[in-house]
Amino acid sequence: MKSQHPQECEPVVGAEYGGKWIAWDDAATNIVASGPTLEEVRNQALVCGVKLPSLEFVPASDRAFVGGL
Amino acid sequence: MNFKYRRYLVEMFDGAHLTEIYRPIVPLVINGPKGSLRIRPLLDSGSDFTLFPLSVAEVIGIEVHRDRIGAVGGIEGGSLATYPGNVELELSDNVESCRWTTTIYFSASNNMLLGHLGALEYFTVTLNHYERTFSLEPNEVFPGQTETHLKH
Repeated sequence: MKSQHPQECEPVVGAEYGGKWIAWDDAATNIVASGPTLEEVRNQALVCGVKLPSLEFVPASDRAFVGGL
Repeated sequence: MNFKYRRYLVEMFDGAHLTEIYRPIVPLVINGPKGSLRIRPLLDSGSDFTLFPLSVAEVIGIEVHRDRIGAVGGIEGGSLATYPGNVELELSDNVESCRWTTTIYFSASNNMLLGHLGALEYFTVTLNHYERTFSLEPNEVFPGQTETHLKH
């Protein structure tokens, strides 16, 4: 019987990032920047030395996301 | 190509407790005349087409056809103006990569959805929530190039 899912050690996106853009480092393991716009977060990550940050918009964290606009 | 679900903390129902949610987030590169962006859209099998923010197009210089306005609706019943643009997309799991040119749609929304037209229609998609993994394999109508990377 499996007692643990294989990915429970993967990085977690905290609720504080809901409704914000975030940027991951080159290995996509650490969040290096967050903010209200894609441009701002990308620039923050580039300043931090991330060559090609992974950019993501996190849906609001005060409710489940079931698709939408 | 094999990928892992990503973890998020979300207030689900009572607003008092955080719950771990797993989502199939796709590591994607979008190429434009002014450069490339690594973005992480949600794999959305319920979305008719692929929808990215206008800010993505602006950063890498993708020409958005604002004279070809369309409208899409979501589960809330609202409507959102969308504009088509031609892009090159690249998907890789570091073992295999797929690159293709397609038309996707841009809007004022920040949500990034990898939907059917222009993207998922070219792949066989398998979701394995228990294992927290999902895969996309190019199908017979995939219009682009695939490449296998040798592991050392």
